[in-house]
Amino acid sequence: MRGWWPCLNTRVVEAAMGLYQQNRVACPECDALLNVASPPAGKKLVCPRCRATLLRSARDPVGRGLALSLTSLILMPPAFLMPIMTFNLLGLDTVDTMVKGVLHLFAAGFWWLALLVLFCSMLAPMLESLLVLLICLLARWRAYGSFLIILLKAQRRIRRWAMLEVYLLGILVAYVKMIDSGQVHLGVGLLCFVGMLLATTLNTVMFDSRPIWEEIGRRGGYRARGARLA
Amino acid sequence: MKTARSEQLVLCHDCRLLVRSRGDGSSACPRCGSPLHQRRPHSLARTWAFVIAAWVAMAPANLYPIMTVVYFGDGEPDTIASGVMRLAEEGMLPIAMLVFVASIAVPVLKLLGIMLLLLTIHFRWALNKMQCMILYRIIEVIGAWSMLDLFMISILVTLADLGAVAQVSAGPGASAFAMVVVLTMLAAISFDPRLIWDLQEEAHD
Repeated sequence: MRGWWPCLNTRVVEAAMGLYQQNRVACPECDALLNVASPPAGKKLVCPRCRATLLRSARDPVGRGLALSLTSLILMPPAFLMPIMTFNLLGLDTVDTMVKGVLHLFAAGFWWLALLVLFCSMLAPMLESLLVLLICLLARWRAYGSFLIILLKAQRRIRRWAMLEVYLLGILVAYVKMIDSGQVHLGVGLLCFVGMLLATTLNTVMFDSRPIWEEIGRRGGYRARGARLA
Repeated sequence: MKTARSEQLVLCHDCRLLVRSRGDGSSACPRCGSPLHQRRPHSLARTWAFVIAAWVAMAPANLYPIMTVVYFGDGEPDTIASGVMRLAEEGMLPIAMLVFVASIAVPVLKLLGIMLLLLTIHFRWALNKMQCMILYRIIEVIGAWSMLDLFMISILVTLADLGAVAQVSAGPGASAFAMVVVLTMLAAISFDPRLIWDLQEEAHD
């Protein structure tokens, strides 16, 4: 998702080769070895060879992470449980919520499909927000132990399985499909869903674990006192 | 150009620390404790395995019905392709295009794209590295969009649950298609883009 959202399209600074001696970085996508300095706040540094993002420096990443993950976690219960749409045909009413869709698939015996929908539309976004919240809290409390290391690794792995924006398109397609068959009304759940989607997506795009990793490194890494990995 | 590998440095997969190491998985990152690898381990073999498995799952996903819509007692099972045709016939062309792109074009092009990258590395084809990189990034970003059809099914089964009047039920093709989506995403995750650039380094040596 990098660079796809307007809020992040701050000006790009190209990594200079050999200009700075403060910091050496390898590009994660093409392995180029570069000497770089931290980019100014709000800008990102890209690899001169393959244009991958090397470094970003967000203003107050921990504070923003806290705010955005709290927002999305607060909006999640209503987004999951309140009606996304209601459908009315011949006086019969049906209500669609995100949880009900998954339960329906389970009840019909499509447990594998139900699990996947549950994971990609609800569990993964929830876990990701929860992880970012915990990471930011621990960073604020200066608890740079092995628990924080595990959380950071989990956050990096779960990120790509959250597919809220695709779910929004799914809602749109379902809405258009049903609109000719009866009366369709959009519900409060949809509003909460869109808010949650915005907060979660901004969080994913803006969260920068690098300063936290650097602090862990300064304190001696996973072998430091109080930090033990299983 | 200097690379981390040519300087005997390894980038940690998890915390992105640059470490001096042999990078054969025998040493751990001093910062986060993860095993250090020069490249993602067995990247090509794993990616091939996921790609082949995805092609296999593609057959039931497209041949079996993914959804049955019954409206006033009338309706028949739809496969992915017939669902798109139905949408187009009912005059919902933009939505038909959207579903076509998400459920047919994206999975097929994604698999072909990954295969092109894999073959480029195997046979050392002299393709433009930057174009390969753009292809890789597109494959990474669009992977999730194939879930569109499955999310839509989970919404429709609840919304059109009116017994004899209207009923939507999922079909076995949907489970197979879910498998395709997961396998193509795993293929993209296990592919290491640095292998593309290694060709260039080897050509200069």
